Amino acid sequence: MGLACTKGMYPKLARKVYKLIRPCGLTYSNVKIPTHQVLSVRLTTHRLLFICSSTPTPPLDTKEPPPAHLQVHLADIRQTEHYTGFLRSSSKITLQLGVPANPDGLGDANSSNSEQNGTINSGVRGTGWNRRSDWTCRVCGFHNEAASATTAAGQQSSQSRWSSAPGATTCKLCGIARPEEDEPDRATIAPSPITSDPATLSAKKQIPCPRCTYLNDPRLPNCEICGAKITSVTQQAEEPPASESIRISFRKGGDKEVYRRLKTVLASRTWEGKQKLGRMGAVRLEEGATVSEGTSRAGTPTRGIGIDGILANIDLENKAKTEEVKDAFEDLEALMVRAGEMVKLVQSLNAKLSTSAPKTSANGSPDPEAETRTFLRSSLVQLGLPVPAITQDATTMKDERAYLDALAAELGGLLTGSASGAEKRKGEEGLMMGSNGKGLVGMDEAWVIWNRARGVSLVSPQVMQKVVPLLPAHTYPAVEKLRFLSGLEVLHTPVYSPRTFERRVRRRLEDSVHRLEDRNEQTNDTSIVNAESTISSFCAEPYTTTLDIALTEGLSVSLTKEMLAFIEMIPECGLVRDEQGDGGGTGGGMIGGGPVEERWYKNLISQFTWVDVNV
Amino acid sequence: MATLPDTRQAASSSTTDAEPTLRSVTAPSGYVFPAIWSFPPIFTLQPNPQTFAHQISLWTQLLLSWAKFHRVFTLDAGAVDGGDCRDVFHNSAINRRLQPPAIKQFVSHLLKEGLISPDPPQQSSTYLIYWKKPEEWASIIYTWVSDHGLTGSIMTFYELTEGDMAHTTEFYQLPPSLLRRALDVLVKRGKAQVFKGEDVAEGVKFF
Repeated sequence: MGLACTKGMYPKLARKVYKLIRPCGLTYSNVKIPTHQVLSVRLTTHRLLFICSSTPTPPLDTKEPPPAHLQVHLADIRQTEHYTGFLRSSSKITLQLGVPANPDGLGDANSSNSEQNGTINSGVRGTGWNRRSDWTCRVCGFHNEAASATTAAGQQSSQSRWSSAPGATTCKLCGIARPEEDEPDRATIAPSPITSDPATLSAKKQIPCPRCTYLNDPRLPNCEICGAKITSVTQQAEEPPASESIRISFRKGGDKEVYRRLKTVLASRTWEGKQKLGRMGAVRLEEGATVSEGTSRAGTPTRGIGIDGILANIDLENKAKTEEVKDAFEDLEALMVRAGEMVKLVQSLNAKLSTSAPKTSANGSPDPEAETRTFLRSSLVQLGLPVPAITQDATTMKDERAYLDALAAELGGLLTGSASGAEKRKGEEGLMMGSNGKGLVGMDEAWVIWNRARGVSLVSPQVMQKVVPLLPAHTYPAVEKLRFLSGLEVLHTPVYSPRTFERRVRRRLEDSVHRLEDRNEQTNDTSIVNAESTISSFCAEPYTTTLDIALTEGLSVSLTKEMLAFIEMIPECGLVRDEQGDGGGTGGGMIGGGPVEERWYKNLISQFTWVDVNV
Repeated sequence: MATLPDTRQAASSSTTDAEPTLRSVTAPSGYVFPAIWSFPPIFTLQPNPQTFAHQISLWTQLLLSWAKFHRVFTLDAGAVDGGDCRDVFHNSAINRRLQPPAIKQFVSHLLKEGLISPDPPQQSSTYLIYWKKPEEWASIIYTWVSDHGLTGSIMTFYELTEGDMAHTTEFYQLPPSLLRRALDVLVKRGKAQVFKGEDVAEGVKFF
């Protein structure tokens, strides 16, 4: 139990020590404590310590050790008062002590006890002077009350009462002296008032049975009388102190400094959350040992104290760390084993798909399953590069240019399917080539696919920007970058260069003119009359829509839009737009009721010259 | 592309330079619209600067020609359909019209070219169309006045544009505002003097 303040606990609790050695005297509940009149005050973040720097007048009539050091837990201080002193009365600091309701119910269990014991039962206690609680005579079993004990002791002066000679209190009934072990001054108390002093701090002390309260030898696991299991639970029981006050008299000044510091420390409330031991009596006694030279006690089995404790803690931490690292390595090894399996799985899957692929449906229409298979297979192929990804340190190339060239070759291989250097795999199609290839790929898409293929050695967009200009030299057909008006950047094969694209669209328009004329010639006889009579049939110029172009070229509508917007800005462009189309075009129709779709015509405006025939 | 044979174009006699699939349209008024007027994209201002320049020049040519043919003197840019000029801005056969933003752009181009002028000044909705500039009107009027031996005599504005003698002139029913601008030119040249009269009864004396 770490209830008493020991040397071992001193560095543990007191994170910061304010050395305030001020001579002072102590008054407890308006009674001067004679043994504690020459003290020095020490303030820590958790406690207020009263250290008997010298004991000039130890009680003569006792074999007791010199007066012990006292401590007040700052957590117990409810209120502080400062009295500056007047004439002969010295300046004083008054501390109002009190403990809030015990949260775990122990307070309830002990409350009656506390009431019985009177107002001064809790709080200040010590071997030296605290003998004021109730006790039960071990011989006759008479329950002695504190006040009567005092009278029984025969009008003891306050001096002798505080001096606390062991035999000073006797049983009111049989006159047997109160045993020393029975004193309720160990700050731990059993639920029963009879065994209110479990004397747990020493191995010699007996432990009360929790059921029958018989005092058993601590080495016994069970109660001698009732057989109940003796645990140290009783030791946890604490006594809720009633509110009381301590007055510290500063006969030689220094009170202001102490009071100021005390205020700051109290305001900071450092002790909060650190006091696992719960609330104890307001003032605890240093058992025997002084703060400066005390020895570590065996009262705290669960917690390391002193250097031993620190070392033990370090040991524990190290052990935990080693365990974690070991676990992590085991996981990693397991993962590596699995990685091999994954690769095998992908290979077998690919093989399976390849064998099942030729079985296309007989009726010619594309089998959706086959499509899925092809897609799966192509994505599997795209999952990896034929050769390990090129990294700057892996290559022995010194200059950046060579590195970028290598990267360009790698990207080119990915895009066109014909990696220079690596032998061309049969049937392999790049991203932008082949039957499923897209001639126009957004830079972002290309970047993502490239990085997916590279696995963990990712390429930054900056590097990609540097690599792309080198692409045409490393690809066949040359893949080039194109920046649309919106700022969107794409990679395209020569087939999808703006000029080629425009020519293609225009040729399709011209082809449709021929088809139109053919149709007109076939239906010449009937249509010519209508054409002459109504002007509505004059708009015969063929057109196409953005959607039609997107469908024909296999591009997304947005990309097509961007492409056409780029193309129409080229000087001497052969296409012109019409934004007032009603959408009821050649199968295009409205797209989701959106804005009117652009129609594209062959550019007749630029070449048109008008000779005005009107006068 | 002009080499493509078009049987129906041969039947149409009004244009000589039409595209194979486009043909000139003759309006009920007898005005012959150019074939390009039936080309839908002409009603959408083209983003390509080259194409746009040609397109706007075609529109200018068309507007002036059309206004001259129909003796339309004012252009209402504030009107949704183009006001007096709605017939040229809207081709109902192909269901295309020059949209108000496009008209605005067209108007600013015309202003820059000095082919229209806001009337009254300092506003941007109604314009006088200068299919003849005030200077041209001035010389036409002065020529007509001197040809008819009216120099030295005083005429009212009404007499000049609505009178019996003016029936056959080009400036018949010239809007007063445009007439005033033309006369201002003459005043500056020292060939006329304008008298402030009552209301419309303003007079002018030619020297």
